[in-house]
Amino acid sequence: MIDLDALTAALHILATSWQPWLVVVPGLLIGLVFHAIPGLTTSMAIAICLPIVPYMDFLSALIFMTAMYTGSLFGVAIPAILLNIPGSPSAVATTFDGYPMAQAGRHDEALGYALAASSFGQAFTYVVLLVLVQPIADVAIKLGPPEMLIITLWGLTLIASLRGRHFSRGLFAGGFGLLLGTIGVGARGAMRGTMGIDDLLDGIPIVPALIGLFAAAELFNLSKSEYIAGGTDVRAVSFRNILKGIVGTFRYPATLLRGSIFGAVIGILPGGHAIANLLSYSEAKRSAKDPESFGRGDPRGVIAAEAGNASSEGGSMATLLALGLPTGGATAIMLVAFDMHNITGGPQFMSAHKDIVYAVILSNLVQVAGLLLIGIPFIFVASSIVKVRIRAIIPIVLSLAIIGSYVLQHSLAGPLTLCIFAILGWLMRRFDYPVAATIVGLLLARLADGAMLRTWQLSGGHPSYFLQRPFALALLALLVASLVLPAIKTRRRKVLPILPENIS
Amino acid sequence: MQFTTRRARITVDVPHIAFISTLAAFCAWYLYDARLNSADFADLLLIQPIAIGVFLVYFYIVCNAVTVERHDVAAPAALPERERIERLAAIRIFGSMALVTLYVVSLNWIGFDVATFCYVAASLLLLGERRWWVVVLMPVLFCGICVLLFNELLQMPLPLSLVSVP
Repeated sequence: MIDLDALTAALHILATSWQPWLVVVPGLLIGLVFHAIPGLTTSMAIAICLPIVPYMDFLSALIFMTAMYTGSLFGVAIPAILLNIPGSPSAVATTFDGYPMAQAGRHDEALGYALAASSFGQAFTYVVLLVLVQPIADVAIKLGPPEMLIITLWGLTLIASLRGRHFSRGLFAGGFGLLLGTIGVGARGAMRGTMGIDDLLDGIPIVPALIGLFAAAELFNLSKSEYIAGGTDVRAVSFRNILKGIVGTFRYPATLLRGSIFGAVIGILPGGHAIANLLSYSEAKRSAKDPESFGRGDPRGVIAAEAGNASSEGGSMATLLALGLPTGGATAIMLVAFDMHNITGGPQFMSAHKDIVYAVILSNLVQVAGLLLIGIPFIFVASSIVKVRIRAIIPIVLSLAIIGSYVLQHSLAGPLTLCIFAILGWLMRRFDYPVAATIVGLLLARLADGAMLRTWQLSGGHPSYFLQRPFALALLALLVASLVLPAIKTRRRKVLPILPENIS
Repeated sequence: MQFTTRRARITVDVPHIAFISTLAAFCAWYLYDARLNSADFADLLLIQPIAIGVFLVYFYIVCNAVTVERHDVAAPAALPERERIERLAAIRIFGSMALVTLYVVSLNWIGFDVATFCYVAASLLLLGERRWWVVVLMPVLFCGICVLLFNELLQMPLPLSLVSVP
């Protein structure tokens, strides 16, 4: 499993050269800052840092890029928890419980949970990667559209659990999101719902739509309040609470581990990183004894979402290093470093530079420890936003989000999308429709549509095709089990009290 | 909207029905547009079943938006103080929406610098800020930082009208 010679060589490289270590802290800080501020993204961070990458050696460049991403993986949780703004699809599930915690004055604790879960998720996935990089790559090459379809369907089952007070409205919101998500050129080239607008050919711009539905609509509602969290005492920021969150994370080992395993497995699939947080959250909620506490500020929701999100990048790293295919944000960024040094990832790279692969993985483990150390004071500073009056937060955050969405799209399509979805989001809340269900539909629609079409084409419409795909069957069995087992458990819980042995 | 019969009071949630009907109409148009562009089964694998499901749920929701109550159930009385707070909240919410819409629409006409200044200042005023120096200084500082950050540092130029970065 582990090539000990290559591992020794990797340790030698890292121990004898100081250059790769110099870039870790700046990388982490850039990643944190660029995701903690609404409107800024990793792609903007790259725009600043790209000119210096060719001057670094290949390993330093890789470590710098991964450090930026390690920072950003936790950085996205900060606006998600404090302002209900998921800066990227991978932070959507963090808002479900993180923001209610912030509103209840548990912002620093929630960020502590997020930091610890994110660090653990990343450490877990890199340890797995260190041991199983080659077997993971072998599995990755066998995964295709049928497996992706099942994973996507699994993600869509979350819509049912995000129903809010009315099941029918949850279904409507989810279905509406799914339809919105398929707008644009379909997998076979058919144009749908574009209204002749060129900007819609690639679909609805996701990030501005997310910010509009979630954040802007929430900010409109907050305009009648003075602060995000009421009461002077609950607006206090303390190291004690941050540490309480960090330590408290490990009181939920099952949630943490389940999220990390889900993330690592799903990260292998293309686009999997966007689903990992949702699926991890959904499974944590489904397997909980008290699922009704989720969505109301349950720390397990934050832990599951963050662990799933953080560990998904490790899975995608295996695909990049072993197959040369980027399946997530971090790996797409790393391709830039590969490209600038004229190196192509894939099986040849794995066999010729295994020491570099191990060095990157080992340095990521160190980065995780660095993130934990830098993250605590960073949370302390970032949490201070709860002390700022809402009347200052609303215009600043909204204009930053609008400017950011303009920069993302290089056109007015971004700001217009944000504006339309902000009004839609507010109306949905007003009539008690769960916005989160629409978001899940919007995020998964293209993946589901593409995977469904390709599976249809490959199978010729015969369900027996799935019998030839052992991984698909295994995933299907897991999906069915995840739906049926909680239902059986709930039924048992209802039946047990009336059994004679339970009557004392 | 309420109707009264001899035995019951019928309440129809008109704004809710109008809202969901708009969304359902959009879904209907979307399905029509998708079928118009390609009626091939493979292109409609996801869209058609989902759209049909959405319509079924729509009819169920509309049916439930009409409630029938017996006459002896008293209608909740509105409190004057609560009404006043709700009116103020509505002014702020709809005002914020109008300002964001104006801001987005005006970006390309008057430039990011002027539009952002006007939006931030107007929002501060709408949300209750009355100190004139905050209303003026905060937008100026914010615009300056944005222009420097995006146009200079990130090299992602925003269309400006007043501020010129050398």
